[in-house]
Amino acid sequence: MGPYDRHVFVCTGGETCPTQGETENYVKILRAGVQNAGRSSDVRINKSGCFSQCGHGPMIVVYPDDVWYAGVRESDLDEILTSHIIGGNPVERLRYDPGKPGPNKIVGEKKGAEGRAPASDVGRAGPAWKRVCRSDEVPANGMKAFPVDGVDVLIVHTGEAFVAYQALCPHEAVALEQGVHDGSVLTCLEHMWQFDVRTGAPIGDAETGLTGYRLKEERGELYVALEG
Amino acid sequence: MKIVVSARNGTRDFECDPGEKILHAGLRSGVELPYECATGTCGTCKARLVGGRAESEWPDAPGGRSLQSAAELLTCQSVARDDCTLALGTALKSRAPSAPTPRALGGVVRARRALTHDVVALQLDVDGPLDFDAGQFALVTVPGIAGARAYSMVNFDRGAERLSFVLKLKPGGAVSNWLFGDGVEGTRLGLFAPLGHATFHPDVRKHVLCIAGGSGIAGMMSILSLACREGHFGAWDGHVFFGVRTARDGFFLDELEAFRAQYPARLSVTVALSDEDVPASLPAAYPGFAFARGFVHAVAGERMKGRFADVRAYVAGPPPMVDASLRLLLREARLPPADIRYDKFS
Repeated sequence: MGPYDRHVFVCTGGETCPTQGETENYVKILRAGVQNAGRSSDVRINKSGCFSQCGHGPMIVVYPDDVWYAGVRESDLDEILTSHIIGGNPVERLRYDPGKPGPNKIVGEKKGAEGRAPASDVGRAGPAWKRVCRSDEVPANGMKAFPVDGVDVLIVHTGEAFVAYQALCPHEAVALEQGVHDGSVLTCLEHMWQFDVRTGAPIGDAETGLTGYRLKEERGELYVALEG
Repeated sequence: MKIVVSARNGTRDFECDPGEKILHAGLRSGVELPYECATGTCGTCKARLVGGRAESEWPDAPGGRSLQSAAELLTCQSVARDDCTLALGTALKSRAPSAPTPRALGGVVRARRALTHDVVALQLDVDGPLDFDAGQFALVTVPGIAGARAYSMVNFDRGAERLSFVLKLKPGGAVSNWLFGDGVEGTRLGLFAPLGHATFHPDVRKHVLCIAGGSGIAGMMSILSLACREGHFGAWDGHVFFGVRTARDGFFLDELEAFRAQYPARLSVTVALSDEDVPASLPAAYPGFAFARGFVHAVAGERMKGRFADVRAYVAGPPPMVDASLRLLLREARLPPADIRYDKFS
């Protein structure tokens, strides 16, 4: 038995995990939680390099339980901390099960922080396209939010093309639809966070980008792939 | 009690007194916690409680709609019951070295004056000299009335010992009822000040555009006061757009004329009436002003067309008016966010 009851590794040094979530901040949050629970002497949170599972991130691994978590969002950390790291009960809904040993990278398919990609979906032929709206429901240089399978999706018409993003600003969960865009920059009216319309990348004060969805147009209708 | 805040760019800690709002404790200790309205409305000050116990003194605050879990709280409404660890989703900014540090203090009402049928000016003598930036506001609490209200300072003075505010009366509102009652003068009020980022500094080498609705003109008066004193409009243009419903809702017109008269070549004042045509009496009384019928953001958009280069804009007023002005400034004027400063009060 080593010096720690539980030893937690958060990937902060890989190629994709740090782009899929603010994993440096995950480390801080977990450390603060462990310290607050008075467990600093027997629980260790370490930053880690790549686990060779790129694309399934952000990833967190807990030993000696050998429990791997995939697609961890900041909002999941409380549960992982309280239930598992402190409480000893793994969070089953977030567990990673690649189904095969060894490295398991998804290469080149993803951009941005789409979040969780269950391992069972990896080998699937193509994404599940969901209909959003008619193309003419979003006027040129306009934008509009639509519910798609319980997910609010913002469709932006850049003047040249359609793009799809999360409907709420990552800052304060304000509807981006209420903001403005000029074909190149989208500004949330609430606190002036700005994003590149074409990529969702943050500009200026904005600290995180927008989660994008793959989009296609067919026979005057728009479809998005919510996962993958 | 000790509060530890982990932000995306580091961790800071500060002491919080029993019953003190966490936001106030942080700000007075030099930890620049995020906030905008400081009165429970906007949600900007949200943080996640990672450890310890804290409670909101206003669990139904409208800003609570931005909270995504029971562990999240608004620091402007919450008090600590224990040592607490908070996580912020954003980075802590550093305060400009010249920006005054807010603190709690008291003040006594010295004068109350009706400006219109539903707007009142209040003067307060504060306990000790208070430094603030032009455009900042104070949180004011009235004895016996729960919660703090935010009011912009109208005046501008370094080491001010007297603060001026304007209050819009709301029928049935607790503060309005108090204000109409007896014994207002001499009442001791609680203050936490100064707050707010919609500030003007004379080292801003830009034209100044002010778009104000109703009592939103308060902070603009402070900005104009400093800008005139520093001779800003000797080198740069000033455009003031003041929106009210009708002619009888206008106030501070004499004061605005006094500013304009100091820099007639560069400082212009336009009064927009949203609910009635401009009566002939107004331009007769204020021949130096421009008048127009319409919403103030629309009037400003029309008259500023082609003149938005090198402009720093200040906006204050009711939320719909502020939002409409922000759309104008971002979409038509294409101002960068750093040159748009605003206060939304509701």
